[in-house]
Amino acid sequence: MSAAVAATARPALLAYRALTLRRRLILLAMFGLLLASFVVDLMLGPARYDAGQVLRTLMNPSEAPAALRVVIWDIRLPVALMAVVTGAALAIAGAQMQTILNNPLASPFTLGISAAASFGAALALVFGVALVPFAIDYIVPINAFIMAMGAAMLIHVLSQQRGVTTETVILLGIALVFTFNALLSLLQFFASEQALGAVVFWTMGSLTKANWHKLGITTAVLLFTLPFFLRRAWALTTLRLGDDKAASFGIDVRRLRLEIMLLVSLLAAVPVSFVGTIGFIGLVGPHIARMVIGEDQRFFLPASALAGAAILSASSVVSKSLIPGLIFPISIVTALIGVPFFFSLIMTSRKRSW
Amino acid sequence: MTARQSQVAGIDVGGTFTDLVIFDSTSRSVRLAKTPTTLDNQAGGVLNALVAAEVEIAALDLIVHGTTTTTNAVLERQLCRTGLITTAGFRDILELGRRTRPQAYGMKGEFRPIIPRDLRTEVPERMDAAGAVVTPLDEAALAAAIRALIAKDCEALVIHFLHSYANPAHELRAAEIARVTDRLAKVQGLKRPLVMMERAGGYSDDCCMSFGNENFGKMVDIAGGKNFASDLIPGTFGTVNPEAVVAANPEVVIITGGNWGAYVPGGAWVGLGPGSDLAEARRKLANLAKRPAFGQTKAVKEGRVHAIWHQFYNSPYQFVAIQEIATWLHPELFKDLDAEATLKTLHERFLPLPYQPGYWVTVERK
Repeated sequence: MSAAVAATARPALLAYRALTLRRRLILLAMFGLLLASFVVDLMLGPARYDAGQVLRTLMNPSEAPAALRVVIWDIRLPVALMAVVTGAALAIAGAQMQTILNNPLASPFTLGISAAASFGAALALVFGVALVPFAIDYIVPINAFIMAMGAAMLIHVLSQQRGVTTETVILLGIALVFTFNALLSLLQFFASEQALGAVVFWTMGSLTKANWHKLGITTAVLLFTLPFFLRRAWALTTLRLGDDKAASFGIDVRRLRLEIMLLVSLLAAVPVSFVGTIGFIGLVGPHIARMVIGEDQRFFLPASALAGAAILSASSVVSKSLIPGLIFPISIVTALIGVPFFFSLIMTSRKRSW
Repeated sequence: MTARQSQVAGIDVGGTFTDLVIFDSTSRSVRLAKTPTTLDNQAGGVLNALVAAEVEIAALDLIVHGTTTTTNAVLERQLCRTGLITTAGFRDILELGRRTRPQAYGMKGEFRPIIPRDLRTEVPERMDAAGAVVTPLDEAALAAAIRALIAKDCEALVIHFLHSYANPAHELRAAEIARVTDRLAKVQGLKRPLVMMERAGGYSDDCCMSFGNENFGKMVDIAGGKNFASDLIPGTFGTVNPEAVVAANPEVVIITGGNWGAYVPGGAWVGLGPGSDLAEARRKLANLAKRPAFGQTKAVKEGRVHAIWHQFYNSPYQFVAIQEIATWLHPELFKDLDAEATLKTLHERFLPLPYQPGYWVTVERK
């Protein structure tokens, strides 16, 4: 009996092992891509230092010339790391939104979280309204964060109502996008020329706002949320089979949704409030991950993070290389570079991508 | 003589004679004098006339002086090489003239304009007859026009705009800008310092918004600097990579600032403007200069970091900003140029508000 089981199970086991190995290799390859992009981001810049100079400055900052040290440690490194961390955070947020809402359109951008953040930032930039009276130096990010969390909570509360399906939640999110965009336009209508410029640039996103402080907070939020997602990886994978099946496996679906939604809000709101609206990553990062690695959360989660981080890191390189010396708003680059790539992936993928 | 005596002298220097009339208000009497005009130095004839009238010069309350010499010079075409800058579209008005011409009828006749056509240039600007601005003065075109005239060896400059009797603002502005561009154009091999202009520094966390070859970028160019971002930013504004600023190592950093407390309360911006707190502005400017993009630059090391009122960008008083920037960029060349005095005069002559300082600030030199 046991021998028979072993005999039939062996090929399946081998196939599973092969699959796992293949996925690990894919993850490794994605990590390699990210690393390459990150290194290029550190090496390239209008100051044109050679690789040796950059490396020596990284190893021995105290011995490097002051200008070189400032460029590497205060300008390039925070921006390059911020691109990686923000890309990962936004892609994970998008991935888990798509998972818990069971909808390929879900992302911080399409659910109105980014739009809410923009509105919060604009409140500060146009009227100087501080939603929290203290920490006046961080008025813009704090406003953005509060509005983003508020929007996420609103979506969550509404989704808890009776008879509300995940499709309804998506529609609610889209309604929120339009609402906040209208409010944003209203603010812009009243804004002075100076404030208008600031709002427009804020909504285009920019990694040049990065500094070690903001990088630290964003990284902390990412590291804080990751264990929760990893612990719930199996449950989340099950959720993709449908709510009923997941419930029959003994998963408290409502509780899981609440927990993930809270974490995702935090993960989406923090980077957006620091670097401005970056729309494309949260939607497309997870889709790319899903196409190359599948739904299994143990791989899907890190793959999403790597895909998001790699796209944003590459965008960072492009945004400063198009015209050396100038920096293009990052979300323009992300969309223009990422969309053709995404298209080609959708059109060439013979499998159903959702 | 009594202390209450009051005397007024009127002088007319003509081509042949210098006439003098003295009016004594106490005795209500008039004295006359007539002396030959001294052509090499007209002051001689004037002094001779005063002596001839036996007047005590120290007792004069007022001397009113008029002369036909300029008119004569114009009529006799005895001018130095003079250039003319006028409103776009009116370059040939000297030839067109009115209906009074040497030969009113017929196809023939010669008219020689006082300033030849190649020394007459136009700049875009226009006032209407009521004195309202139809087309704002194009300062960059003006600077280019002045440079071109100096290149043609002009020794004198006439700025003559349409309807300036109704509103002389454009003419006066042009004259104030000419004070900068005129002198710059005469310097052989002018060394233009590299200037990093930061737009509204500290308004947001980004570094660094800057200007292309427009707006403040153009003002830097007119004031004799090289605007760093002119080669980078295709439009008016853009975000410059802070690293590029470190690499370029600008000699001068200028940050625009205004009181943005209503938008970004407690922000890092430099709150300049009429009546601003300059000590506070200097402190905030010093903080902005510490950011990675600027900290290592020559400008910061040499204390050549300045802030200027942001609103000069859309103000008709840009010529004041140009003058002040010129003194920052070429302190030796413009030692005698006082932009603050210009702004003060502007207030006294044209504005209903009293002048208040606070439009610009420079970091303290270490």
